[in-house]
Amino acid sequence: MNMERPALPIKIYFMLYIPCPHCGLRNETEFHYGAEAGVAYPDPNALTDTEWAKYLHIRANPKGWLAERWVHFAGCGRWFNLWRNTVTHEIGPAWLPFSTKPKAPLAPVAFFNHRSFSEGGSEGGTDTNEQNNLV
Amino acid sequence: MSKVSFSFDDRIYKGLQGEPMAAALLRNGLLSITNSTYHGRPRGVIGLGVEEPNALVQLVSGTKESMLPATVIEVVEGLAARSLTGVGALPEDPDEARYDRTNRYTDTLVIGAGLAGLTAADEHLREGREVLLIDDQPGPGGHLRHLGQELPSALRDVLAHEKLTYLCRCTAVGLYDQNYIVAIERRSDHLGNSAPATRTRIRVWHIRADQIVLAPGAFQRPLIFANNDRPGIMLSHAAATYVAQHNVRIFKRAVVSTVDNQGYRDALRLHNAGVTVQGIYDVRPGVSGPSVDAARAAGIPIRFRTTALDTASNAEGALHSVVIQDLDTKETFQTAADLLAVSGGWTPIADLATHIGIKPQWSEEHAVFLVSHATDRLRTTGMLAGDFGGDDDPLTFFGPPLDAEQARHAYIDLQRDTTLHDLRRAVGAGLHSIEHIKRYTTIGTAHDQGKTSGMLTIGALCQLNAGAQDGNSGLSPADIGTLSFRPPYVPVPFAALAGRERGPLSDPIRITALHQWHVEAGAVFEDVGQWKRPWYFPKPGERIDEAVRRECVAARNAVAVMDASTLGKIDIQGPDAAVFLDRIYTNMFSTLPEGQCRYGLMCKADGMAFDDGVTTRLGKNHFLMTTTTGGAARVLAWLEEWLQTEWPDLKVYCTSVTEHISTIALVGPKSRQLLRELVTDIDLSKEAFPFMHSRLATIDGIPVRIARISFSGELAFEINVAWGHARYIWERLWALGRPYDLTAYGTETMHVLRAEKGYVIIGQDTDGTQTPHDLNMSWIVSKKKDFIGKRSFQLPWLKAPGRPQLVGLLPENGDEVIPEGAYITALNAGPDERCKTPHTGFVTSSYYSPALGRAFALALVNDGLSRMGEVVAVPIGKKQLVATICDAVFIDKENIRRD
Repeated sequence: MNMERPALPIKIYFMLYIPCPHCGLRNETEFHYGAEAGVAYPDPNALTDTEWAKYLHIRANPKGWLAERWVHFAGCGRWFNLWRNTVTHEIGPAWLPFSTKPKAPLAPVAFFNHRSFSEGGSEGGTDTNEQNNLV
Repeated sequence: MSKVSFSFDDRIYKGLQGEPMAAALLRNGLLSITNSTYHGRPRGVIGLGVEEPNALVQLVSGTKESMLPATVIEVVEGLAARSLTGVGALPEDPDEARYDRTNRYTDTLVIGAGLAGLTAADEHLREGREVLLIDDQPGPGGHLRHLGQELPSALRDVLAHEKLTYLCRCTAVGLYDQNYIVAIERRSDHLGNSAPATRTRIRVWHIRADQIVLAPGAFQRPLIFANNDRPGIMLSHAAATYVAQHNVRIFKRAVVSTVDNQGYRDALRLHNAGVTVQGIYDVRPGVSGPSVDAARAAGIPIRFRTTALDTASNAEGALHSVVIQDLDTKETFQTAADLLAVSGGWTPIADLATHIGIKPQWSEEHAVFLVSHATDRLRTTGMLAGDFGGDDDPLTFFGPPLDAEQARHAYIDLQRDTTLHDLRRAVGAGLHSIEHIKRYTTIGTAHDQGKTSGMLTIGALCQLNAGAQDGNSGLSPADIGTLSFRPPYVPVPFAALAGRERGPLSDPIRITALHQWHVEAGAVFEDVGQWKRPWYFPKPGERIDEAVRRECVAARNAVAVMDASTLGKIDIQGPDAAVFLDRIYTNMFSTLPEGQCRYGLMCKADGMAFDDGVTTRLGKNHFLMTTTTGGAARVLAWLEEWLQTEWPDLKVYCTSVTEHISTIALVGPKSRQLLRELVTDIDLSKEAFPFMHSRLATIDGIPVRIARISFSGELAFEINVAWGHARYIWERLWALGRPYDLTAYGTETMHVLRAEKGYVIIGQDTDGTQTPHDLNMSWIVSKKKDFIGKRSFQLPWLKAPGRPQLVGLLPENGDEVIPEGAYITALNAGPDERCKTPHTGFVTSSYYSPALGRAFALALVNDGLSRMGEVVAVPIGKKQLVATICDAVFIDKENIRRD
């Protein structure tokens, strides 16, 4: 009898703590999701029908780190981009639209506690802004 | 603790204030509490806490909550409960208790206030961190409480620390991303009738912690043997606690069956409380340790390599005797006992850790699944991490080998009445994944989520696989892994999750400045999104159809007035506002002269119509866009998405002004006449104030902006004024409107009037899959410019024949209003070879028209625009209505009336 246990995906229940670049860490219920980041609106007349349909309906869905968009609709109302690991839900750096995209994290980025943005300091002496490449 | 009375199954018993109801029931001799759900076997208390699978009761006092384990209910004066056989009943009356919710951010959250948790809290406090300590018991100490031992003074000081918040009776029910915990705090049940009326019954805590320490402890588990479910068979730690701590005196003669030294500690407690411990039957070959020596010194007989095999009951079904087996010689003997205390090993409570995806690891040394986890954000400690305090050497053992007959009553899941026989059947059917077996046998699917049965299942699977004769397996639990647990860790009442958001607080209501007037005028309201809009204004005794007819007639023949304030309004300004609108709308807006209005339609990039409205140019760089009522937020979000993420170079600023401006629509052939009495500072004539123009004016000194926009097709004036002034203007209109027989009208009439003109309502006649061409609105699709969605019109499937197109429908029987949503088929179409009747469209809007004197409808019909005049069928139940496809504009096709 084969007792080998198949590798099941990790199941995690959701209440992401999302670092809005303007407002700081907020619960994911304050945000709307915007799928893959960096999908620029193409020149409609330069694409074939198939390419246009792909732009309309196909977005990246990797197993692992994804650069994606979020909008803080219940707060500042601004869009921003974020690295998120779709398997572990670790949150990576956030960056504003049209600013330099940071590299995908190789290891989980320490997330900052609720004090970091209000008191200007963070745990362990690291500089919040520097580590997160926040613009 | 004071003596109180409580009732169980309608009999009054005495108990002690604050003790677990299970203890009080046992002390009063109720060994057998209920019959099991599926097998009807008598069952009694086996455990100490939420792991209890048998003693579920229905509260008859208080909120009458059902399926609570008697082990967690605290006795209080006036408590009343009933035993349950399986399923509970929901109370008839609504739950009037108060529930609320609070959010909390904390440096450190410690879950569990036993020794390990208190020690961790102490460490974190010494680092200067703020600590929130939660524990599901009425007091701190964990196992120390059960043993009746005092906390060490250093840890008592922890509880008094100013940076520590300690919540008792507070159960962490779910662990989520990034250290988010939901916990429920039970605040008033233990106070019974003396709870203040304002005290919340359950508070739901939403906690975000910088660091979490998990110190939840462990449950004991039973063993699998024949007839292991009789009342009188209990987990040994629970049995010893009931006897030694809670003064339960019903047991005279105990047998202890154990795999570890815990059995010895519990045997000693029983012995010291006066129970005759007939023997400790230890499955191990030999063992040492302080508790073993103490048991020997107390004169308790000990035999090794033995375990409980079977039990017999008395006439009431309670334990009468135990059959013990020697695992080496296979010999058995029977001994009388009224208590069989089973120590099958400790199962650390891994639930919360598994919520977050941590996989427990099997430890052969401790014979448990541990979670030994330490990151800078989450750490486990205590029994969960494998710290059992020394003095133990458990054997991995789950029960003796059993034949088929014995297996039939060897219980694994007491709530589901699932036995070893059921498990063998599952394995025999070819299942080997623990997750499949769980679902096939239902083990672990009751409300205890397998707290005592999960580990037994894993162990039994190991032993089954080995087919071993001596109970030792060739397969390790590490090979099988644990079941996954899901929040909530314990059942949570829905009312607790609803909190304060019940009744009027369950959803916000949005009302206009005129709402009170509508209420006093007797309006019947409908919900449009969160807005309350007058649906119709019945005169006393009028039905809806009568009121709507009267309102329609007034609007088309005299003058009527409607509150249109709920429509979305977006103020759009900036040097690039016009360019921006050209990109968003299908038609041109940069060419719109100042002071004029234009109806616009907007599509998504896939070409589908998604909102519409009239937009007015207030200045060179200033537009006021209107949207549908329900789409206001969606459209603003759409505009912002494009501006922020695609066109940051455009200087455009969008502001929601829906609640800044009230809109009063004055409609009908006499509307100009009436308005002239109110607005005297501008020329309202047709020549000076053409259709789709906007003018500034004042009414009694109040600035207003009047636009000639018509959704009804009649001559109409929309008066826009700062929100709070609406009531004044409205009242002035009413005072002047009396000689004109001014009539208030609501959304139903508004729907009828616009439908008679063939005007679509986005969301009513569309569902996001219609292009402007499908809606017969090709006229609005600009050929001159590019806009969002235009490219998609060229996609082959959007040009293909057979697409549903918006048309009118006239039912043959003018008195019968076709139900909206009704399907349309070819005339006399019958079922095809698949027994289906193909439909050729469906009805989107349908009303009775007083102007036409008959019923009419709008519909989306495949290729409808090429099928004018065709007679089709509309099957309604067994009837077949007949209708003719026609133009969607039923009245005033030349658009004379609006001017």
